[in-house]
Amino acid sequence: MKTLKIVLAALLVACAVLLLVFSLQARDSLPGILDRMDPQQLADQDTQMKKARDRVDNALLEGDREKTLRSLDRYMEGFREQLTLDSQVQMDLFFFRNGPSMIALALFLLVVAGALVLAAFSRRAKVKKSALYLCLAAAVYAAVYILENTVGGNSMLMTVLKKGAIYALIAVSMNLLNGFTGLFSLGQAGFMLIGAYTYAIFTIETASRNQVYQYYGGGLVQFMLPPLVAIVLAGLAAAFFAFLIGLPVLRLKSDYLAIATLGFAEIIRAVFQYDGLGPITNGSNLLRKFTVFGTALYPFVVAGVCIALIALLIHSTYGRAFKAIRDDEIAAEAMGINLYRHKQMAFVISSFFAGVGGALLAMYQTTVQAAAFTSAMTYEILLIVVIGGMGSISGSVMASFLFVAASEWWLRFLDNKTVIGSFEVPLLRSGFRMVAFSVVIMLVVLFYRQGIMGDKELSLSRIARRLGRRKEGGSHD
Amino acid sequence: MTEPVLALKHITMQFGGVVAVDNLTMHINKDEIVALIGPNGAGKTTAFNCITGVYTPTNGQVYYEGQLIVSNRPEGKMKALYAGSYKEYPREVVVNTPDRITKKGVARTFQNIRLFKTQTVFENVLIATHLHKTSNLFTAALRFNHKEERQMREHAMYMLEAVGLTAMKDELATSLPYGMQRRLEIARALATRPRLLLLDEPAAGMNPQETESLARFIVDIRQRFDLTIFLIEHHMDLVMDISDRIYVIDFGRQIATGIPEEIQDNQDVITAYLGVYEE
Repeated sequence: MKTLKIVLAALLVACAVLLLVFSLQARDSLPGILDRMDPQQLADQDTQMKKARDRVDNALLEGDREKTLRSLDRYMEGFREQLTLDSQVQMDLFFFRNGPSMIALALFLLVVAGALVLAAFSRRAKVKKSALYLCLAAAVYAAVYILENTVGGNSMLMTVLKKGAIYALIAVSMNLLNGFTGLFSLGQAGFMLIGAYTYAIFTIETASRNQVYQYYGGGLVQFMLPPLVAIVLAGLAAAFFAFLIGLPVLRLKSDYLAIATLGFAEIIRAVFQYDGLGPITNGSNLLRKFTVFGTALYPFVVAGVCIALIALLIHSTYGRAFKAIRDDEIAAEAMGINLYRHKQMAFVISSFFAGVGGALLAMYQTTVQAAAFTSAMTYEILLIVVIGGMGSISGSVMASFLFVAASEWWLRFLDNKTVIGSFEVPLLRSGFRMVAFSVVIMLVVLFYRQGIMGDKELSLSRIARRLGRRKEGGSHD
Repeated sequence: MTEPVLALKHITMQFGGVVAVDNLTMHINKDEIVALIGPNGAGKTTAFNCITGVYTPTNGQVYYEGQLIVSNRPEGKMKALYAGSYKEYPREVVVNTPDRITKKGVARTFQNIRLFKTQTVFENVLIATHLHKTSNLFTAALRFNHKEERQMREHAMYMLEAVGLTAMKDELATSLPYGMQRRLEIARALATRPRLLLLDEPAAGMNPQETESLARFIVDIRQRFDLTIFLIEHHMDLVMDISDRIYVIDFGRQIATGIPEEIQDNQDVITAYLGVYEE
């Protein structure tokens, strides 16, 4: 078993190295490939061919990958008869086209190989488990990266994945409070708003500030922070507000928390649109031209790290204390758990990650306006938590992808008038999607109250047990 | 004379116009098993709740190992309403929440079992080790506290072994039979490393055999963990069997105190329990 793992790891490393070498070589060798494609130097004789080839060369010089690929396609499409593609050229072309994906794949293989070696040499079950986690995370990231480079960053699939990842983080942060600590809070949209605004305000390009804050003389903040610093700041700002609200409210029974946080979210939305705060928040106008992410990996990595942190927290002694408070406050207190302090902790941490989620959402939307952070947004997140299962991190993650995919993509057809022959399908019109969606949600809440996962976690060992085999495993993401 | 582990001084608890506990004064010495008995509604659990900080008594003081842990006097509206028989008020006001009192070394169980329902037997006990943590949120989340975590787990396992629940450690706490749940609650209380253990009707709902084994168990843990035990109980067999001393209360007032033999022959106690036969 051990030797098998090591041999397998060695094979993977070899594959990865090969892939890396090929794709790194192919990156700089397009002119060479073009020459080999065209052994008779036909391009020099045919003006049209020459023009097309020059276009490829120019695009390559400019360093514009998309453009290079496009002009390359046109060149090859137009002159297929004249060009000879032997297998060597074809392979080089493949690596040129899919270079970044291949590098991602190679890195993924390396991580898997590393995990295999760890699993082979370590005697501790925990290390083996973490190794499997690592593999899983690497697989997810590699898949996202390859997808992005094959279907394109602006496709519906990538939009859903990006928004899904962000919503997953926010849903998990809400689950930490509602599902694990048993505090019912409805302020998520408010904390997201604070996060989104904090992020946006501190990352607008200095040069564009006059344009963005055109009614407020360029705004007060005249510097720019690196995105990661701004994201952490966004979380901290949300956490600070949570701390202030928690001071009075968390000493009361939790119903009041729901009312107070809902009120807070509504008030903060109005306050951020207040004209007097214009130099900072730009009043009721959009904030735009701030730093956004270029690749879908960004929200995936940030959300993944945050969710992993929350999961680690939940499985620590503090997480156990949170669950104890959820199960029985009186017993928890009798076991020496300071109710107020632990509730405050859960509330502040949850809001911190909601703030981070808000910052990511701002990046995803590329513009921010306070008016969009309505309580309906909180209910969306709450629905994800309920559908995924109160008290299940993996449930929240799965549910958020499902929810986003359904609301943005799969149920879109309900919004379009559809005519089959001369028969116009009734009810289908703009807005019907939301009706159908509400019905689905009602059905879930009525008949499937446990949600997808209940309070269980999706884990490899559980799946393995289902399949009838014993195997070490860990939970999702 | 050595300092008593627990001393109640004139504890009075009044809810609105109802005086649930009236001028209760008692003490428990080290290594003793002391029982508090009385008919239903006599105010036994209320007395417990005053000691553990669930309620703040209207008047009176509680000392634990010589330290004043609870002290209160009627204030505000209660000043006019106060109907307790003891009219002198302490000067200090000391209020402690239950968690702080548990941290000082007083653990308790509940009359109606209060286990953490969604968690396993092992996790129930493990939670009770949380109060002695030295790690903070960050060191715990990032697993810098793995040494402490291992000690917590070992301690929880040791407690489960002490009450004989090791084999069921991964079962859901609520799936255990009733008697086992009682034992689990005691194990959980013991995991907080108390020096004084308060048991609120530990034998409620148990059959004679279970009660008998519980009695041995209580005596056993007193020795093993060097405990002082204060219990409320209705099973007279159990009380007479293991208690060193007994306090009897009725309608909130103390009506008798002494060793089991004295209590058995006390006319007031018999009257309180059986009523008076009137011609």
